[in-house]
Amino acid sequence: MILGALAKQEINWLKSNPPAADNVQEDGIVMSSRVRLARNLSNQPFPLRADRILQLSTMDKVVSAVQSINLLSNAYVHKLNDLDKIDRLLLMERHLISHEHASNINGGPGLVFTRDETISIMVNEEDHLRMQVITPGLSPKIAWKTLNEIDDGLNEKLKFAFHPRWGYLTACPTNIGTGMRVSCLMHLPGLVITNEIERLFNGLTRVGLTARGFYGEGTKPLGDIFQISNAVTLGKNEESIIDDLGKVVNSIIRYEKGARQKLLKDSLKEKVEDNIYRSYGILSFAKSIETEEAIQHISKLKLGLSLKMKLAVKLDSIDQLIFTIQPAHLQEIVGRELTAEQRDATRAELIRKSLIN
Amino acid sequence: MLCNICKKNDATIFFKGIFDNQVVKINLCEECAKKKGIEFKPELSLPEIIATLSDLGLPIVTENKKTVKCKSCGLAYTEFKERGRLGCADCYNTFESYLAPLIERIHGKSKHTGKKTAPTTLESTGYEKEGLSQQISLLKKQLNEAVKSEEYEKAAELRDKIRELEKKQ
Repeated sequence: MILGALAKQEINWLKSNPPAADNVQEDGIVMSSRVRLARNLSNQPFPLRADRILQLSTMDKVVSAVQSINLLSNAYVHKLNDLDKIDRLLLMERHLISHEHASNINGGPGLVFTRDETISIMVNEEDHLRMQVITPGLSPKIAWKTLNEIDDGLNEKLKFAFHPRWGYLTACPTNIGTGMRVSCLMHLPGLVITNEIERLFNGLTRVGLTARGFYGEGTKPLGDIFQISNAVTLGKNEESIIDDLGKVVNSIIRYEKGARQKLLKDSLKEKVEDNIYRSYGILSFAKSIETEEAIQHISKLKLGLSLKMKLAVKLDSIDQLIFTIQPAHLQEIVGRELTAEQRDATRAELIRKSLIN
Repeated sequence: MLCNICKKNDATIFFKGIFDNQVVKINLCEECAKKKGIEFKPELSLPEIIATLSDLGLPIVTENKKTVKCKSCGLAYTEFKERGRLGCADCYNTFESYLAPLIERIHGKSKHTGKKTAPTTLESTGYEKEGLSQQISLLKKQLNEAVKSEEYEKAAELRDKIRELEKKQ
């Protein structure tokens, strides 16, 4: 466990009021935006077909290319095999690596990330490089501007596999073309409570978008938080992928606001408020609480704040709390491995304290 | 080439078809063909198309998907089917004819229109020449596929395109 300091650091990309041109007032509905690019080095097998030695040599190439890029000059570099399970889990909880990357113990998985955690590059995940930029609120254009610059910079040093018809080549054909995935982390309790979320998801599929869980592909949603992202990566350029996602996200914001208005109507209001205050009560007094349950209740508080209910918490700290109560975070913060029971008790204590402050 | 039936006259009518995943070739002389009741319709008929295809010298061979392996990384197509992941950039060339329809199904599009990799790095990737010959070989592969799946109208279209491009060469 060597990443304790990281666990105690606030997550920058959750801080509200980004100086974003494409940012709109969204009541904490869009928590963050993320753009990622998948790239592979030409003339060598993709990580899944490369042995550990080859993977480590890929890592060396990437690390040396990274050094020529100003934006990455202060970046941390980690070979994940040098980190223990809790450290790797922490990186996943902070959305710096995927679940697959955290559990890869045989290959040579690597990670490069900036101190503010805005920029990160997974090395030897499914593709040689999976680079991402995360920015606060609805700001995918800003994220893309930075990521595009990094991609250009790396491309000066690294030869990427590219096909004239199919663009950037990736291990899975679902990512070819731009190799780009844009997503917004959205808090949609209104649509969940009013049972409109399924309809939204069906609609998304029709416009080439998809909803993923809290930690990305193949993970489940927690606390009514979803990642809305593009599904199609070929045949559209990067700007249109971002524009199209932006338009849909703006519509989802409107739907969510509409749904929240419904919650304030007499028939529902009392029930909803009761529900939120109960969550507040549990979080304020519980002596032991599991991650999922905690996130569910914190999500309710987040909704309560947007409905202007009187709750002694701030939106910013609520968002941070969703991340800091996760298992690896707790263990890093206390500096030792904890049993599940100990974690639940520590979690409850941490939440109680943060609500009082 | 002698007629398969009488084994005397020169064969002038050639059939190629896929039966049971095997290429079957039948070469007939006009006489034996008539005896077998094979008639020719004036418009686009199957044997005519197939005959013109073989004029182009196309290797109409059934590749068994199970045995095709990528020369660069050794991945078999069946492994891709199981795991959904390709082994290297060259797999996209090796399995191009299988991947093309899949890719179109996934993305609804078949051509990258976004950012391109830096030109300096293109030279050594082996993919840099989007020239005529590449387009032609691509069309020929599609033509093969069309014949295999018995889409003869599409095949005829492709054949015309190939001829057009070959004139330009």
